[in-house]
Amino acid sequence: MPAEVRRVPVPGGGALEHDRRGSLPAQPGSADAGAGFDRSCPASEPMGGAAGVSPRPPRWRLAVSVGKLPEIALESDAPGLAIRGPSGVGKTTLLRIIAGVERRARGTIAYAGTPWLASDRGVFVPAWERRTGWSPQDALLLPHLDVRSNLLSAARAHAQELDAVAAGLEIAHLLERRPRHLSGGERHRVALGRALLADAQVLLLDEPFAALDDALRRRVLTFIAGQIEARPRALVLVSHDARDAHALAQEAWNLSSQGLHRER
Amino acid sequence: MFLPDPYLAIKLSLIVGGWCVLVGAPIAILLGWLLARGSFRFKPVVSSVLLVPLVLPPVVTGLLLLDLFGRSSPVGRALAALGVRVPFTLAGAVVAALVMGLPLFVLSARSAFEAVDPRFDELARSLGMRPWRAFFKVTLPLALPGIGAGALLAFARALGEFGATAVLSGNLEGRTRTIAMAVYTLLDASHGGREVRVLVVSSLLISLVALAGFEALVRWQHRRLEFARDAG
Repeated sequence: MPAEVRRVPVPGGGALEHDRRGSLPAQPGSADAGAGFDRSCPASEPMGGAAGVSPRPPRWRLAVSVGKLPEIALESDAPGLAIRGPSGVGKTTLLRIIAGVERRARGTIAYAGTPWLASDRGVFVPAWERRTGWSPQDALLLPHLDVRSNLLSAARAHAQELDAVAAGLEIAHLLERRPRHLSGGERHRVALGRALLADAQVLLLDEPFAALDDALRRRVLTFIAGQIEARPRALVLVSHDARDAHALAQEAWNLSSQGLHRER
Repeated sequence: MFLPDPYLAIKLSLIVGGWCVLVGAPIAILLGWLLARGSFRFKPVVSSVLLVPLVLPPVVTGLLLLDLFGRSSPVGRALAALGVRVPFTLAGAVVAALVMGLPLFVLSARSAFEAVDPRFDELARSLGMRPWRAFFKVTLPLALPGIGAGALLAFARALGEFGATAVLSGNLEGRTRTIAMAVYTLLDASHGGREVRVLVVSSLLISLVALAGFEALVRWQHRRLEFARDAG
């Protein structure tokens, strides 16, 4: 099965190649560490592996419910997932569940074979051990810190990447400012930068481009795609806009009152 | 009779107020946070007991404290064994003022914590901070102006404390005679108008500065969190 390659245009020529199987390092617990992903054996099929070889778990395995939300079930090997759906259906809550800050969540979550939540067994990996880079819908910049400190506020922030990320998100001129002196679009880009600089294995981006004009949005999308290329991370993107989904995600899922269903 | 030294009284009052803030701050932060964010069985009880010094006559509070720290109580004996004497000492004045000021301090800290969006704490945890670190790096700094306002209230209350202080620590010149005690003593004296004026003016000044600081801190906290509510 040939790798499906999509190209993301990059200003100044060339293209970022996005292998649909993802270019992340081997998952922990995978049977053939180092070999990347093999879509020929999706985890949803019965595992007929040789005796003694444990079947590789899918990258994502979710079956969760919380409060009034419909049960959300998802199984996928794609490193990038785009989530769409009408507002109020629980997309933000889904990200909160994955981030580990929604304690009411029931069910199971496993990322790369590591259980993050198994409420029947009392398993709950706390948020600070999940290594997510969460960019909330309303940015949630820390009001008492300037932009630079906000960008580096993750416990293990990649400080050496600060200048590159600030330049790429076009916020380098704002580093000394307080969040209350930023526009909505600037706040979102700072929140994105904070997520990118976190020592994350999964980025959780909640409508990060909503306040950006088209040209800036394209540049930021390209930059984020490049960042993921340079330091591979999985991604769950909540976005109303199909262009965002195309640029960053390999699979699109639709969340509705009937649950979560694959679109492409 | 000797007239009370007004400057010594001012100094003692400031010392008592300062100790109240220092000793009260960790208690107010802990209790305020527990009352704002915690869910525990005796929360209504704790929050009611805390208010008792506000409604009880201060002299009665002083009497209860005297019983608690006196030689006849286990607490008093234990402290005496450690060489700490509370009744009729400066420590007693601090204890009395602290007990009287703590309700205001804790209530301010509680509303300061309640005003901080809990999602900041969640966000900090998702950024890899353990709960303690998230508390000290995010929740506490965001609540700090409000807690500082509570500290100023407690400080101002400590300066004015009279009833409980009179019973627990007495009115000993140079040891427990604070501003309020000195003014009361001077009321009985046939002269000493200058001393009274010094005490009244300095009390007014200290109180006004404390209140202005309180107001500024409350506005600071409000502005910061207003923005956070509006725009994240």
